[in-house]
Amino acid sequence: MNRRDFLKASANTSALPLLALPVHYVQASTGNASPSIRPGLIISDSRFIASRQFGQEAHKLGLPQHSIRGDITALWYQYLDTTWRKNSLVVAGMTSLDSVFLLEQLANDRQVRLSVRIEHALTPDGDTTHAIRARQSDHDALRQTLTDTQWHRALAHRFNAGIRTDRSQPLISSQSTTLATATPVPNPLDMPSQAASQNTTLVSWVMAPAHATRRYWAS
Amino acid sequence: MRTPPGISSQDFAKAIHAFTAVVGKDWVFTSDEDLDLYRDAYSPYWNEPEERIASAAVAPSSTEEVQAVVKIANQYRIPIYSISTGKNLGYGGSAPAYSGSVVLDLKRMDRIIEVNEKQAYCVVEPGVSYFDMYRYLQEKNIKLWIDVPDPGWGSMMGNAMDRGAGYTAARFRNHFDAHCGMEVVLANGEILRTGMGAMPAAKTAQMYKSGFGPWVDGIFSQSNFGIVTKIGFWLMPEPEAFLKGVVHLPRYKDLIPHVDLMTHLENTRVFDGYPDLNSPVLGTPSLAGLHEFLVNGPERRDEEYMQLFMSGAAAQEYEPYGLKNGIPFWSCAYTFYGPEAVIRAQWEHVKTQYSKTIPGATFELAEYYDLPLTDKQKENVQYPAQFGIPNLRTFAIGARSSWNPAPPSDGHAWFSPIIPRDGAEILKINEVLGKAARELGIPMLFAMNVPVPSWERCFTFIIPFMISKDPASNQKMRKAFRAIIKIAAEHGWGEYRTAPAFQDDVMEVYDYGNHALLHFHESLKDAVDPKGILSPGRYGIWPKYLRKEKHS
Repeated sequence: MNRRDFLKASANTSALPLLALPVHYVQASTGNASPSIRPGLIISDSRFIASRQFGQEAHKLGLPQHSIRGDITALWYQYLDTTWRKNSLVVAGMTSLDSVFLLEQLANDRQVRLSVRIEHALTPDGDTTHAIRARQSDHDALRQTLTDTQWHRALAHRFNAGIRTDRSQPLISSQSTTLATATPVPNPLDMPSQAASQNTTLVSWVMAPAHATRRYWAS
Repeated sequence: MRTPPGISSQDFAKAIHAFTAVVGKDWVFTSDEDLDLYRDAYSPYWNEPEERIASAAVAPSSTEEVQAVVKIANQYRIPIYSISTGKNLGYGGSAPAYSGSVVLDLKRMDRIIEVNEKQAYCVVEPGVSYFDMYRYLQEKNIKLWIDVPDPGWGSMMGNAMDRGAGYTAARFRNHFDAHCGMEVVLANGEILRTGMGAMPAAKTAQMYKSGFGPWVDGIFSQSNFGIVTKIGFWLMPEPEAFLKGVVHLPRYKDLIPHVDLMTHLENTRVFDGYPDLNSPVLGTPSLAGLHEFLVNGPERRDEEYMQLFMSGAAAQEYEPYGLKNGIPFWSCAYTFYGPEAVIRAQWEHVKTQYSKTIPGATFELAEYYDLPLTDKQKENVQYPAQFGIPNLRTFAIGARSSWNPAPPSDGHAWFSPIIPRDGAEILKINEVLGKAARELGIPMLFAMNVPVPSWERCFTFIIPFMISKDPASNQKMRKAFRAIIKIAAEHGWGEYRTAPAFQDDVMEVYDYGNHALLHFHESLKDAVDPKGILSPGRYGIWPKYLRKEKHS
């Protein structure tokens, strides 16, 4: 399967189709005022309700979206590996811990770094905690976004508004909580049909090139 | 800025400046944010003072840049720890063996120098991953296969240097054995070529391994005597067809004749694929079935079985249950590669031999494919690695559960001693290490562990030790790991590979002749790297200036 076939197959198998090639590449950084950048691709994991709805919301906003079911092999081999070699693509997602762990390791090989990482976990009281690590310039806005009871949808809007990837800004950490609503709603972190769902933590993330568009690789 | 131990901040700043002049500012990493990516995500010392961390990282793009970096390191006595891509999680990742070393990250050296389809070999740089080579072969329609580890995200060279294993035919599964010829940057910055490559006009550098005189390639694996910057590998010509046949055996005691027969069939080249042994009645998954097992858990069993399980019954006590319910005690999947007529005949021969040798043996043809696979078939094969297809699906497993105690986002360290190809030895190691594990509080999932036959002539017996981010439980795990290294050694079972945290401990038990082997390593180290700059401590080999401290 080549890259074109992957994109066609994605359109057929994703919960939402990858409608168009990502076009929001990072522009060469020229100094102090780094622009906000919309992700060129949104990754969701269709096994999780929150992630699925995050992806659907991103799709409605016109962001190219691709859905996985845990395994990122095809995403990496057919798309990200080759794209990140050539272009400074910003990618955002909401996936399991394992997927983001793996993607972070692979992204580092292509000089792409995590700019935002938010771990979402459910408390016994039904609240959702969010452990946020983001650039100072994005941090407060992300905290605010996560107070929304529909935080997973709200995050799609936040990402669509753009993330600053300027590495001169420090990464800072904090914790926030979305309180459970009075009206019971399905646990958005739930992973129906998977026996191992009880310990699941979801992670929202943004990965951005460490440097401006340049070609670094030997091959 | 972090600094290596014993190096002044002024000297280190000068060295960093010099490294930057060689590789460019984008490729020298000194910030905590960047260096955190060189931590071993599975470190058994996570967040403890003993965790091995880098003081900086440098990523050259060519052999010439590696030479220049080595010369600077010599000038300032900076310890440098070379990695190919650092993906050997469970065996150390990209963190240095000696905390404070500068990681020499060779990921940018990702050129595929040559692929020779007719002679079935390739020459690559350290940053070429299995995915890179797979893509290259597919896109150019070259009828050669690679042998991939699982997961297949790492470097071909890095895995071979660590002496990793794969899953296709025996002569390619031992990745170090499958190499032919190296280019090595020595500690003084000189370039050495091994084997036939030492002759400048050689036409056979990737066709004849040993060249003339001592064959030195081995000393550059699992060591710190040089930095390998190019390597040749023999590749597997794409076979015409693939067949997987499974032998099912009903009784516990069948293990011993089974291993004898399996070994004979392998040694006589009746098959050269991967003999994948498991115990259905004990619930141990086959290697090819491991992913499915971790995702969905063991097969559901009835009340009678669960009583056996909960009572901690010994392995042989499951036999009556298996016989009553038609569940094999042992299954072994044989894989065959070659022309259809040949591999079907080989499978028939295997069946005949088992029918003659072990009463009650039954057979199942599990998979047959004409090759090459279609795209659809690639998605549906039971185990992509047996077709040389790299994949990452092992990371899709997800949350910790009773049948998945070590999800990829947490960690594990493999305890992996080599044991003889002998059924009695499998029973013995289970008895010895099973008892030790219970005493040391190591969770063992099954009534019996089944070893993996990655290489010919021996088994690798693997126990995963779970690592978390909790120092107290990691401390307990380290203590148990070190204890079991010694217990295994007392019975003649030694590890083939381990994470840096345990490399001194493993080297310690290879102590024949009052540590003659280690002393030889150290003599070599002193001769070829007198300032001890190359990967200090890798595989228990410390330079003279650290030896006393590390062995005290």
